[in-house]
Amino acid sequence: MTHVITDACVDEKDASCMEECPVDCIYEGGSRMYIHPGECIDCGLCAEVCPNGAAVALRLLDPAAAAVHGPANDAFFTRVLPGRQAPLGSPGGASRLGPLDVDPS
Amino acid sequence: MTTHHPAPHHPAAHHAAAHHPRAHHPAVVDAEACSAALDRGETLPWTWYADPAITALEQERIFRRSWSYVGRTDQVAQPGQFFTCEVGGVPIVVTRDRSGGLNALVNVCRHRGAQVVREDCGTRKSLQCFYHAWTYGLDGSLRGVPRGDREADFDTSQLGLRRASVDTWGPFVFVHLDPEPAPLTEMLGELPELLAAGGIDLERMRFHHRVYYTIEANWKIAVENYLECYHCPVAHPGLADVLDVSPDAYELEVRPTFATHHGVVRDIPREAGYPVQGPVVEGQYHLVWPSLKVNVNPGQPNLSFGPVHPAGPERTTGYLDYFFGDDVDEAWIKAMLAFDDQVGAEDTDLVESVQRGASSGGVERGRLLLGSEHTISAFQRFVLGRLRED
Repeated sequence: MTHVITDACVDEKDASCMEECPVDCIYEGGSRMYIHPGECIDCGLCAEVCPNGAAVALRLLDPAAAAVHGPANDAFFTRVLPGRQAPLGSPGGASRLGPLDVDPS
Repeated sequence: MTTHHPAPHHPAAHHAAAHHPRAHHPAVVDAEACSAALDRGETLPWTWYADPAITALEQERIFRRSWSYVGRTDQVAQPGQFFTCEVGGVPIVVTRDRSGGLNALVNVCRHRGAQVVREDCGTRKSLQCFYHAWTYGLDGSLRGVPRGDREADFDTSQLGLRRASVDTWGPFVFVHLDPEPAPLTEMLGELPELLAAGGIDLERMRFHHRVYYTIEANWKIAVENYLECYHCPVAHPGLADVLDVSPDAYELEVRPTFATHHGVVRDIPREAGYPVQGPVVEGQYHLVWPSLKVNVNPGQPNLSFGPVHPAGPERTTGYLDYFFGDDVDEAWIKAMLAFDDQVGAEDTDLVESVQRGASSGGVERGRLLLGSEHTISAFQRFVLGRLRED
């Protein structure tokens, strides 16, 4: 169980979470950020710094919300994004990948 | 009397006493004899000025049980701003949290003991340990622990950064390790009134710069040199040109929590190193127990403020924050600082000489003049009293 970004990030993209994340696991999509579920160490720093309350611990969400926000966050890495041939998988760092201007469809 | 010491660091400092046998801790078993010696005008034993066990005891019983000046409110004016410091050897981070609260937190991660904040100052949104990413809020509460949810009975509410006490006086921030210390105002006593009466309006003082210094001497010798002006006619000719340092004109006074000097500008001025005329008509120099120096030189509104700390039995570190009135011009500041630097350099030379002699083992203790140096006796009585406490 890790942290996820919810749709409270959509069109906000404050990016404080990206700047502060100690393991560089918060990726920038077209309209919002996404936390890599395998790279996140669950330290909670993103939740501490996000001014929009968009970064949350999955375990703290009620089951219905978790069932929505968890997959919506993870889809950035597990689905084939528009214009790409394969899922991102585990890129090993957002700064390595750079920002993308797409979101999972 | 010392105003400040931008002292050069002397890597080849003399440590002659290193080869001499020293009294082992606790030398304070001789407290009654020491007290009687102070009554006779003698000093504390010189062995107390080079003994690591005494220095450790002073850290524990003096510096960890006193309010310490640690920095300025302007360093933590905005949410997220922080600075680090030490109190009695304990690392502290002072933060301004998002609610505007001022916090003094023990800068030691509750996990493995790493220092959570390693910068001197800056702005942060949270406090995260660089070792395992334990994440604390600016108020010190533990907000996140990687893998913490896998542990049974892991109560993060009990694992926030330890809190110290913090308080302010004007632009000055003070920290005390005790969560419920005696009020800061008790330590300051009448000092705020004395400064105001001397022409220093803290509301109109602006921070100018900080000077750090190291002295190769026990911290008590540095303090004791500050506490008397018996040496001024001999060792500080520039200062003696400005102030009347004769015993009937120069006032030394012991208050419950500090000692104070007042020196008036000479009636018949000698050629002074800087323009001494101005709204501040006298020099006032205070030493708040255990080691906070508060200096005001005559002339334009000016103030330097800062502590010394033991950095070992025979090394002292300190700093002074310089403030000037908001309308004091830079040329005056430059001239006054040159004067001040000269006095500081002279004092460093004196103090390091005393250390070499005192720690040599050649003489057991010094003999004071109680008419001109009772402030030293008062300080030593304070030290002795603290070292006798459990």
